[in-house]
Amino acid sequence: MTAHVIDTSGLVVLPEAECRRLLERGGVGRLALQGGSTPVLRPVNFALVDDELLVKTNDGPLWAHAQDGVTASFEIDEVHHDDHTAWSVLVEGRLRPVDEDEVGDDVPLEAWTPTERRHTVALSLESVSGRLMSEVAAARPAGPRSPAPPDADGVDPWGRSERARAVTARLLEPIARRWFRFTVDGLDHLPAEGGALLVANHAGAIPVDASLLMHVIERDRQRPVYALHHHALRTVPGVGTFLARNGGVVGHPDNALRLLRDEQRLVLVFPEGTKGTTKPFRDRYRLARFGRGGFVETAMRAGVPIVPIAVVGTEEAMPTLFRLPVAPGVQWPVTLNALLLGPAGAFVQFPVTIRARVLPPITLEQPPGLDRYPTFRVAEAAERVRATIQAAVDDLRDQRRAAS
Amino acid sequence: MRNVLVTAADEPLGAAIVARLANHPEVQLLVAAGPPQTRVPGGAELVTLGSEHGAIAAVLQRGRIDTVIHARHLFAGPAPDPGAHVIAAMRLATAASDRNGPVRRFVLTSSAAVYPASARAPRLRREDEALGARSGTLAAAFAEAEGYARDLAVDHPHLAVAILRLADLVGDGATDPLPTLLRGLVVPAVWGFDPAVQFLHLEDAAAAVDHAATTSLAGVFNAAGPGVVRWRRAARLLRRPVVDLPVQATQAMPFPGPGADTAAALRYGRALDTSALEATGFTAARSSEACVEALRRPRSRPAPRSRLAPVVPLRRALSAPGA
Repeated sequence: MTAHVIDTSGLVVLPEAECRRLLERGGVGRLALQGGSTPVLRPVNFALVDDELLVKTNDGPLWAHAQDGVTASFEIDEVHHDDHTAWSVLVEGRLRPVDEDEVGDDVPLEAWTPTERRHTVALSLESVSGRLMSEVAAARPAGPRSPAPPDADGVDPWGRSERARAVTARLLEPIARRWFRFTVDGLDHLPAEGGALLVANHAGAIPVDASLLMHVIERDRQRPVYALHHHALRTVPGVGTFLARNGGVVGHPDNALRLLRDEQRLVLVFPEGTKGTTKPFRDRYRLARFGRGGFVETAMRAGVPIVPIAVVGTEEAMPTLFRLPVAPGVQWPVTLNALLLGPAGAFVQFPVTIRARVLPPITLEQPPGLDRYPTFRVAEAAERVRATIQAAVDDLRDQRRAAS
Repeated sequence: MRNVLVTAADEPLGAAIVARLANHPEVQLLVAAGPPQTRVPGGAELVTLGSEHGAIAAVLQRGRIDTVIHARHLFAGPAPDPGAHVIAAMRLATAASDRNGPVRRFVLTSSAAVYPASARAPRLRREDEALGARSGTLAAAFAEAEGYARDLAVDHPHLAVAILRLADLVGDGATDPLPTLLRGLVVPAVWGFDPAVQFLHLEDAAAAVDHAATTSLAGVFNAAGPGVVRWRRAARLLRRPVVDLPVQATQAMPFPGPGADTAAALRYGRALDTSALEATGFTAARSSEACVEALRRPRSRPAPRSRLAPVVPLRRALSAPGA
């Protein structure tokens, strides 16, 4: 999914998948029928079931039209008066009457009217389209700026060097293949072009998830990945430079926005942060809360989708058994590796199988480029992402258990 | 812009601005302020701004100065004097604020040093970044001077006030901290760090000031040579050996003055987002890397920084007819 498409009226075109997702919510929409001389428009309760919109009615024009199988239109929308944003989805299709028996009891369709509605009518989804209105989206000049080229040494303005990536790839490939037997499924969900925020769960006292994911994505999808890290790592001599040469960038919102919006890059982020890497083993695979969802807000502002990624195995590669308070506010994770291997345990990970699954992208239906996004929407989206990854993590673990 | 006052004409930046404006088609009267011995090009008149109250206002009034360019640069000369820098800005802003006065444009040159170098900073510093400079540091001095210009803008809507934050200057006589380090026999670096830095050539700085004055720019704008240069690459381009210092040598007690900020810049660098200025139609001609090349040429002796000048009567230009 590239940067959003804007039609000739300056409205953002919503992809069909997104329109269907909005229809799935059900609720109230407006049904338009051919009346006598003028069209008839009325609000109705509806539900989306098996690719059809179901509406309840009594004997009357709608029921008659359904028997005749005429065409009709249906619209849902949401309008925000405070910031002049709105979206609208339009469906065109053909009506048909629905048998009583066809409609299951679990269909969430209820009429709000006091009188009972005896019949059910279905509208097929022959054409589905949607638009999003946002002053900011239309005003912004289209097209991302191309990223600044690397200097004569091959180092780009972020500090990344493809030569360094090549060396790292040569070192990581045998480790990924043989030590960790690392596999990723769902790589096709990564867009071939355009920006996307990759969100993954984080684990292991020294997490290998970032390096393995970046390596495989760059190897198999031929697209560079930048990974956001805590600024404290930049203060360590050598480490900061090493991370930068390999595509690491300090996790500042401005940096993320430039990478996503201006350069349309793939950016990998681990919202759990240190909460993920210092988790004791008994809490493994329970994803920590994703903070206030800053990463979501950045993706909204940049107008790019979020691609959730679930990773399983890193918790066992370097498990934290318990934490020792070594200084006020500082807890040192004591790993099984350190207990068994001594000093080598600081960087040798157990050879467990690590699997990752790339999940379908989540498009946030918010207008890009705003200064402020409602906190509840941001938090809700962040929680949705977390839950999606958690479900996939649980599924991967079940598969692992079943296989062993 | 017809009648222009440029301060600090004895410093490299001020002198470059005066030289550029001396050939400007729109400028009729060019007044360069500096100590008595300052050389100014023909076409510019030298005046020394005394320290008594009302001296600057008198100069502005007599010359019908509509454009004031405060080009004092904290990094000019051997020892930066933050206090004097702030006071000079304050006096000039006060004099320019007279609503009945002739001034319509005020351009202040500031420095990228207002953005402290740090690990948690974004890669490109934007003008709307909140400045939280510790008092006593150079960043604080620049910020305070900017504050006076900002107040000028807020309280006097008839004035177009532009603040230009310039990257470290390179060129004849410039003594900004990072370029100075690159010109030494050996170039210091911090082991394990390779920061990205930016520079701005004096000629481009003068051009930016010219652009701000000509187009009556209002607001804060970053100015730097396009692109960044990595520190070790810069040393290599200049064929200078690099001496690696342990990080502890630079992390010691934070002390005010150029040392602390330069030490942080040697670790984390500093780069500016110049898109705001570019949107107004100005891009520096020499990239940051080209500025490093410019450092190769033998450096000329910087103009000597004079001590506080005695009060001098106004020159004849300001008592010319029409003044």
